[in-house]
Amino acid sequence: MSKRAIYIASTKELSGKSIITIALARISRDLGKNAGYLKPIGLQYSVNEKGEPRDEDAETMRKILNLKVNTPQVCPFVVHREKMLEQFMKVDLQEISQKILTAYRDASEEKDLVLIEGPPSLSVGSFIGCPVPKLATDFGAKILLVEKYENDLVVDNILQALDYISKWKSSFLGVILNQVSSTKMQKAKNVIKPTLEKSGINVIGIIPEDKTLSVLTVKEIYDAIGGKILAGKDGMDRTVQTVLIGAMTPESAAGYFRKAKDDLVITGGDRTDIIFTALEVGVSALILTGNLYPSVKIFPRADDLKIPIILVPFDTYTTLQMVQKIIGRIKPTDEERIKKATRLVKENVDWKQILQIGSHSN
Amino acid sequence: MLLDTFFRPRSIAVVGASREPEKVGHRIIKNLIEYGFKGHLFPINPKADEILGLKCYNSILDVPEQVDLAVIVVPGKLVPMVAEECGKKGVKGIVVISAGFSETGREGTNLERELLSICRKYNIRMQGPNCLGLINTQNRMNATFAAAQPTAGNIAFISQSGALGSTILNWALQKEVGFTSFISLGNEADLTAADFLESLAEDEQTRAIGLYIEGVKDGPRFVEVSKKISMKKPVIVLKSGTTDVGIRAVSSHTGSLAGSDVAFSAAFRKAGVIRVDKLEELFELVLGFENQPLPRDKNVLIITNGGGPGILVADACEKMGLNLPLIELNLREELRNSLPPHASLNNPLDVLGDADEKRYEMALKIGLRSQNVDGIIVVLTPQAMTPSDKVAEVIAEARKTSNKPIVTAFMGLDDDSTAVKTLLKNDIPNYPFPESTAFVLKKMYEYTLILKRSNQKPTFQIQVDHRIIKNTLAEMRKEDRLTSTIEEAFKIADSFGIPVPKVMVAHSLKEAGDMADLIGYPVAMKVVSPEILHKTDVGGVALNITSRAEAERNYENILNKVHSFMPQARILGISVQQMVPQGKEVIVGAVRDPQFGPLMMFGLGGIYVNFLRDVSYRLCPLTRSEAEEMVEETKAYTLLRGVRGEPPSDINSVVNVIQRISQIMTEFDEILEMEINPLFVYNEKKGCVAVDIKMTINKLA
Repeated sequence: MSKRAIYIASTKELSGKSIITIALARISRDLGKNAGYLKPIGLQYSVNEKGEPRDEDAETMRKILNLKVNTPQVCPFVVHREKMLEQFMKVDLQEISQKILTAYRDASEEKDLVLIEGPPSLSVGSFIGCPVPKLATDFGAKILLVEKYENDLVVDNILQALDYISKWKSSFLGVILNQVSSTKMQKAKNVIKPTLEKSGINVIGIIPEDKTLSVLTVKEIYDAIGGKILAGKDGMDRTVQTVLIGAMTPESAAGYFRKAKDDLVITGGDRTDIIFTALEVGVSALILTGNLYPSVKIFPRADDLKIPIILVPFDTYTTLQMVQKIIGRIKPTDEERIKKATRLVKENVDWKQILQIGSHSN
Repeated sequence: MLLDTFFRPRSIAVVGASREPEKVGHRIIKNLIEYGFKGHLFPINPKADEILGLKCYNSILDVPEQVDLAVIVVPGKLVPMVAEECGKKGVKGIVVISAGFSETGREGTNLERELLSICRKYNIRMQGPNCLGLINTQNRMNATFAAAQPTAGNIAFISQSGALGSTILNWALQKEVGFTSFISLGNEADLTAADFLESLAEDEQTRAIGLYIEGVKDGPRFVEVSKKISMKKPVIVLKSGTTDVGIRAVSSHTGSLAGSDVAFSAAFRKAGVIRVDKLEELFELVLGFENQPLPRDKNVLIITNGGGPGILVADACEKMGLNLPLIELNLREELRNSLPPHASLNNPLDVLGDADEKRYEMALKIGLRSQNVDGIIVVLTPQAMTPSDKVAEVIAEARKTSNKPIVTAFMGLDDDSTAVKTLLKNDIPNYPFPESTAFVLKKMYEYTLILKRSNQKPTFQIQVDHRIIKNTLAEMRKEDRLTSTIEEAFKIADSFGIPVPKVMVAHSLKEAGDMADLIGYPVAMKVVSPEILHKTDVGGVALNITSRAEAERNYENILNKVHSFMPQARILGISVQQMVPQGKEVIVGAVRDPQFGPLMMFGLGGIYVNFLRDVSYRLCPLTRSEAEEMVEETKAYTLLRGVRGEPPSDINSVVNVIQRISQIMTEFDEILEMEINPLFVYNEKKGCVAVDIKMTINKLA
């Protein structure tokens, strides 16, 4: 059963698993190795044109990795966070297990190595008897933890994970500390790493934070939340790093707009003053809420400046929530970001160790 | 005169002239004929042979003579074609009355751009589109579709709103205010308010210019042009959109950034224009400036036949900052002999309820002779014994020889009473309410000051090594940052001679300790993060650190606190900074206004700044006196001069800092904001020091 396989997992959501998976796939490709990909359990539930459930992220990965299979093969089980118990109530557990193994076999066929992407935490899947360590054992894969380093608690999380992994007798490759801010870099290297190593944990890499990786484009936001593009169509490729609400006086708004880079401004369509301030200061895009049409006189200016103005039916708060949700879920869909991520991994991770160990595991 | 084509054309074609009386194209021809335009008139309309007795042409190209000016009233979509023909005909100016341009959105904007490019191609200047037209009373040219035919006089009026323009024409007729010219700006696609102001500056007949605007097209040019004109004649401006709601309405109406009122006020001040807040005040001032000499100073004599109204004027004068001096002793003695014993010879000078024209005449003559008096307000209430029409004649007579302004408040009289008519006919501005008189004299005095200001010294510039600031900006660009670190801001300030404490940015515990040792104790430590605007609020500041151990402890402390308050904030390090002794706290800041450029701000500092709003503003670059005025206008000035026996602070050093920030902002367009908060000011001759500085640079397009 065992094939060269790496199970990329984490203890918390949004640690950067996908991007590291893509980077590892790229590195192996460049070495002439053919990597397979599998996401046994997906949580980004959505429905495709045919009404079948699918995992959004897996679909994205399928495209990026150029896999010649369909999404259900890449991600056999898509779980709806709100209704997963009802979803699986009548399904035979044995069958699930079998289906996942079949999917793994398909994914690894004629591949030099398989990259398996885990759900947000190790425990996801327990309700159907398929938590990450169990599957890792089934696949004969080695677990690589990707953890975002925010504070010292990361050590506890990793230690607990290790405890859990050893309970399932699955094999553990090590940990990558990801998105480490410049101020924490020294501590990550001089304190966190030695601490983990003292407990026998292999720290395979420490990746510095790169804001440009977590940047998304106006188009991506528009694709996700919908609405109507009123003006500035030519600026849909602008990037967004910050989201600001325009609810104050134009002068104080200008102060915020100036200091933020690549800012998306959410405001009411009736706030012509804020809209013009945003256009003059230069923002990435404007989302006008409440289906309030602005004065048509702003359109030519927005067209000239190539600043998209998007009208949505939601209120400002709902819109903000929707946008923030997308920002956390950014997928490195463009080549520029993939290249950058690959370079980051190459420079800061002992990828040879990961890939070699992967290939020696037979 | 500039724009002669518009003000003094020898021939006018009206393209889109109409036979139907209710059409705009008819009204314009009719106005031109009825008002008595002496040049040649050519109606253009392919469907008519004759309009109002004038031969009609199919196209402007068919007109056998040279056409100087074309007034265009055809539907918007056809205007570019007409403009093209005008170009071929060699027409030098067009007045586009037609609407349907940028005021209607995207398509209209494209149409307007097309029209403008045709104008540029043929070297045609354009008024409008979407305007009411223009009037020059001097050559009897009324090229508008307004209903009123204005009388000739000394006022020029420019209006961004056509609707308001026609209202003003009507009002002026009633008030017997005469015009030299009237201009409706429309969308200002080509000619702007500044262009017309520039040309009116040269018109000898025009004594004062009234201006109604909602915004300006080219802020710096408006300021530059107005500055020159206001040295020749007063420009009175009414700008709408001063409140939040108003600003929003202006944005929707004009389709442009309305701009902050603070910036407009500063711009108007720099331009030397007189700003009014209400339409009523604009009318009052136009009346006042039309024919009156200016007061030399702010000393006013009030002559009244009623105690109450006199006191109302006195209160108003006092509130406006005007003085009410007593007239000289010998003149008072003269008056005492000719007035009843219970008349008050103070100021207000009460000639009593039974005063006749003789008493008024007496008082007026004395007032005009008095060296203590720069302007006179005459108040009259209707009394059985007071013949108002005769008093009006007396004032009219006095006005003829007077070199002091005389304004009147004949209260409770109809506009068409003989007295009021006499006053207006003789160029005496009369107001129904007494407070207006004080307002008008105050604004006239303000203009006297504007004229005096004209000979101020130019801005003092210090020699600076620009490499330091250029390198810093390049560094910020390289790191893709819009806000500076404190270290960078201090470096720049220092290069411009602004005193700053020693500062370094630590990235580790050890560095923090080393830096503190190097700088010398006590030190202050502050978080460096582009996302944190108020460092104190998130626990990002520690003061009075006296040892290495303490510095190291605080390094950790600040990181932890900031992290728990703002987990997403990007922390670039912790600054270790030399502690400087506490001084009086003030703020010196500047922000680049999108319309007018750098705007300086000065005010009281510390944590109450946002609350107290004790601030003054000026447009850069500043003259020395402007920088001084900025300080003097605030309450902070009183504090700096020393209260309750404190020694005075080094105000001179503050003025220096203001001027230097102004210089930085003027020399580096990239910098959008710069703020020193707080600036510690020490006792006289002891200088000041910038304790914290924030700087924001622009986003690259």
